Parts: sequence; structure tokens; C-alpha cells
Amino acid sequence: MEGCSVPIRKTRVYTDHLRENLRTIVIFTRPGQVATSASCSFLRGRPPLASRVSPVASRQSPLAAAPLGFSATDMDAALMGSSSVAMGDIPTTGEHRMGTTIVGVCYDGGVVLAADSRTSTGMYVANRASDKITQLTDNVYVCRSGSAADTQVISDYVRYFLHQHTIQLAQPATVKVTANLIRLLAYQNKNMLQAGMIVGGWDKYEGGQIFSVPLGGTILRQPFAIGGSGSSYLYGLLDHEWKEGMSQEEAEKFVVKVVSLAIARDGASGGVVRTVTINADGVSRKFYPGDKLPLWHEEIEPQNSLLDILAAGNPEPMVQ
Amino acid sequence: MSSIGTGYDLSVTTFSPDGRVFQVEYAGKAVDNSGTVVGIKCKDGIVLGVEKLVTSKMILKGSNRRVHSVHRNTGLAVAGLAADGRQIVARAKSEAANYEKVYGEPMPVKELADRVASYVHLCTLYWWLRPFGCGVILGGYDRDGPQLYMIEPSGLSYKYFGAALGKGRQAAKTEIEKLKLSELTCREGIVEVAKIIYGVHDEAKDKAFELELSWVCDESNRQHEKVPDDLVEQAKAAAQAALEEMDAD
Repeated sequence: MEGCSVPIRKTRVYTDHLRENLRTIVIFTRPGQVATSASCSFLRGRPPLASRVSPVASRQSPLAAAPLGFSATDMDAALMGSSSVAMGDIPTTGEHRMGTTIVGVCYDGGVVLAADSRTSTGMYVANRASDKITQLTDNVYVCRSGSAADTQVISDYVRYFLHQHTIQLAQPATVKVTANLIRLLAYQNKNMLQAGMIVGGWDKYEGGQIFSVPLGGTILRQPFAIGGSGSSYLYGLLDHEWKEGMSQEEAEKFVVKVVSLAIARDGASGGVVRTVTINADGVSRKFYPGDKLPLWHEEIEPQNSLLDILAAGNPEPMVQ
Repeated sequence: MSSIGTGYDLSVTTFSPDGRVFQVEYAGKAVDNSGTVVGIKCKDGIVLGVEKLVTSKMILKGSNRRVHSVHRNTGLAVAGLAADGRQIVARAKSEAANYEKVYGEPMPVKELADRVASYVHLCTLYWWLRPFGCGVILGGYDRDGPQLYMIEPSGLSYKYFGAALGKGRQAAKTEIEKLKLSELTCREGIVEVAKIIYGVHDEAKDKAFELELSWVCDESNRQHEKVPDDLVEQAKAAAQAALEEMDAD
């Protein structure tokens, strides 16, 4: 895996220091573009804090695709441009991330994939109704979390390879092959990518399968998988409530419940819940808008005013 | 079917006026002069058998193998020029390993047969290469069941129930056609293959031969392996008994 370095004055020092495999740091023109020593938290593999966002727009593909495009003058403009964010500005710039909740579960006969729909750029919700469940082939879909750009590019590559593979084999690709292709890309480019993906699908040999490919490029087959920033809140719930061999309706209701908990607790997840059910009969997509999501006990009914809350009980009249 | 292609047979990149590539046909003759190779597809697996002609008493028994494993579940039996065969086997092994590395699952037999056939055919397209002087019978057991393919020096590849190459192929094919393959298990298949090879072996022309048997079936856990020695001995004994019966008639 080769990266190529584009000499950039300010950021170069940091990136060269931290990584020998140089990344192409390239800056698009965007108003208020920030070029900081962004790479620090980025490279450590954590989603960047809102105030330190790396303006990465293109990367050298390990498979020798051409860089997505940049302009030298833009780099200079950006560097000369705005200063560091630590001045009280609301962070609204940087790379599109999907602070996310993604879930995949197997049920008796297939799989259900579910995701929230929030794509954020720092604290700004760039897309509140995004579709994070992407089709790779007729019978295999992938849930994407992490950097939006990274996961889109990975999906595009895998879709391309799978298409050729399907033609060559003259039959649909298996879920395992799809997951392996994703995993090879994720592992071989682990230094440059931030992508957590859950691959789910159905094939005639093994039925419904879920494969988890988190940061770093592990591949793990699981009966259910969760990912994204919102998944932290779900480990306990799933450990407690997961059952083997659910029916399709049970599984769909289950994932909606699970994702809505994460939406309730995780600031980076929100919007609507989208699900994709894949089984022997094909694929069906469902959509659950915010008002159809189950409430959790800490969510309260709307109140007209504080006085109503106070007046609810029977307070002692104030005696003069 | 021997015709002389005077003038049109000097290069593999020359067609004859009646549309034949003579060099490729001559390569086929090299296969026809080798020891018989037989492959059958039984209901639970594949059996490959080779009549390995022993040219010298000094050769160690079991050396110069003609049946190779190219993957856990796939085997290849070679007829013709042995050195050419080694090249094809090496290529097949490398294709299978590479496929598994990229796609994460064992290579389907159909795909492997395609790749081997493409490779063999490749060598019939350029004037600086000569065609392979060997034919190959490829048998494997993957998730679509047992499959048998035969690849000729021209690059032609077909899927078969039973296939034979080499000196005794005509007689062998006749024998195979008599078998009810869909009811045969591999255990029984071994005996049949041994009988066929003993049957087609020409005592007058070629003196000694070694019987090499391999299988990939449910009994071998879908792995391609040499048939265990005791079963080979049983098969040989049965084959020899059958021969004597025929002679006695």
C-alpha cells in the first residue's frame, strides 16, 4: 500500500512525524476551511473532535486509481486562510462523518440491517436523512459508519469487483466473498481509512449472514453486529435482549427499538431509522420516521410551560 | 485420423486451408501416446486413476507422481509430457491459492477448470510458445457437489461424468459408459477404475506399470488425497481377478 505525499507546508511536519506512509492531504476550497494539525486525533483512529477536523478530501487509492482531484492554488488559499478554531466558533467544517448507529441481525431466514440517518460535519448535521445502507450486489448490502467518503469509496470498489466476479462465476456472489473484499481493502489501507462496516446478506449456500468489518480490517462473522458511535449504548441492551431465530417481524421491530435507543442517547445519531431486510425472496426496504420510533422512559411528553409541571401536584397555597 | 499438414504445420500460429491448427493436433498426439488416465464422477465424489508406465526398474515406487492435489478439495491427473504437466499443476495451484486469498473462499472447481483451460489455450496463440503436450483431468468437490473436467492441449474444457486420456482411452471410455455412475459410491468406483486400467493395459507393448489412484469424496472428508493403501490393494486384487476371468473365457 503506497500513499503519496503532497508537500504541504504547515501540516507536513505533523503528518511526516506521525506516519511514514504519507497520506495525501488535500484541501478543497470551502469557505472557512481549516487546516490544522488535524491529523493527531485522526491518525489515532478516533473520530476527530469537532474542533480539530482534518480537511481531507482525497486519498491516493491503493489500487492506483487517480486522486479524486485537487488544486494547488486552493491549498495555498486554505493555508493562508482561517486560523485555528479554538476561538469560540461553532465547528461546522471538515470532513463528512457519520457519527452513527448501525446494526445488523440474523433472523430465521435472512438478515435485517438497520441504521440511523444523521451525517454530521463537525456539529452541523449535513444530511439528516441519509441512507447509510448501501447495495453492493443484489443480495448483499453494507452498513457504513465512520468517514462518509472512505466508506463510499470502499463500497464503490467492492461493487465494481463483485460485478466482475458475478459475471465470471455466472451466479450471485456469496456474502463471505463480499465481506472478504471489504476486509482486504480495509486492512491493506488501514492507515488511511476510517471505516467501520457491517456486511449483511443472503446466499443460497449459507443463508443469511452478518459480517462485521470494524476499524483496522478485522473480519468477524456474528449472529448480530453493531457499529458506529451510538453502538456504545447498545452492547448491554443486545446482550440482554438478543434471541436466536427470531421471525422477520420480530427482528425488524427489534432493530428499530435498538437503533432508536442509540438515537436517544447518542448526539451523533439521529433522524430516521432505515432498515433493509434480505432473504431468499429478495430485498425490502423500510423507513421509520421520527414519530414512529418507540419512546424510551426518560423521554417525556411535551409540556406547555414550566408552570404546568409545577401545578401538576397539589402545592401548599402560599399563606400570607 | 492421421493427416500430414505439409507446410501448414510448422507454427502454431498458422491455420491450414481446412481450418485446422496442426501444431495443436500434434500436441494431442503426445497425449495419445502416454499412459492411460481415467476419471469418473461417482455419486459421492470423484475418482482419478493413472496407468503410470514404469520405464526402468531403477525408479522408486511412488515417485514421478501423475496425480497432484492443487487445492484441499481438488486434484489433477496429467497425461502426456510430464514436464509440461508440472507447469500446468503449478499454475493451477497458484490460481487456487490466489483466488482464496482474494475472495476468502475455496475456488469453485468450475472456475479453476476455466482458468487452467485459459492458460493452456494461451500457449496456442503465440508463435514463441509451443502448446502444452499434455491433457489434464481435473476433479474436485466443492459446495456444488463433485465435478469432473477434462482439459485438452487445445484449451478445450468440458465437464464430464467420466473421462479418459492416453493410449487406452477408447477402450476405457467404452468401459466407463457401461458403468452406472449415479449409483456408484467412490469405494466401488475405485475398484471399477482399477479394473478399467488393468483392462486397457497392453501387456505386450508396455511391461510394467504402477496404478495411481486418488479420490475426493465424502469418505475422505471432501479432501483430495491418495486412496488409502489397503483399498488400493483390494482394488488391484479385484482388477486382477476380473482380468483372469476375462482371459479364462
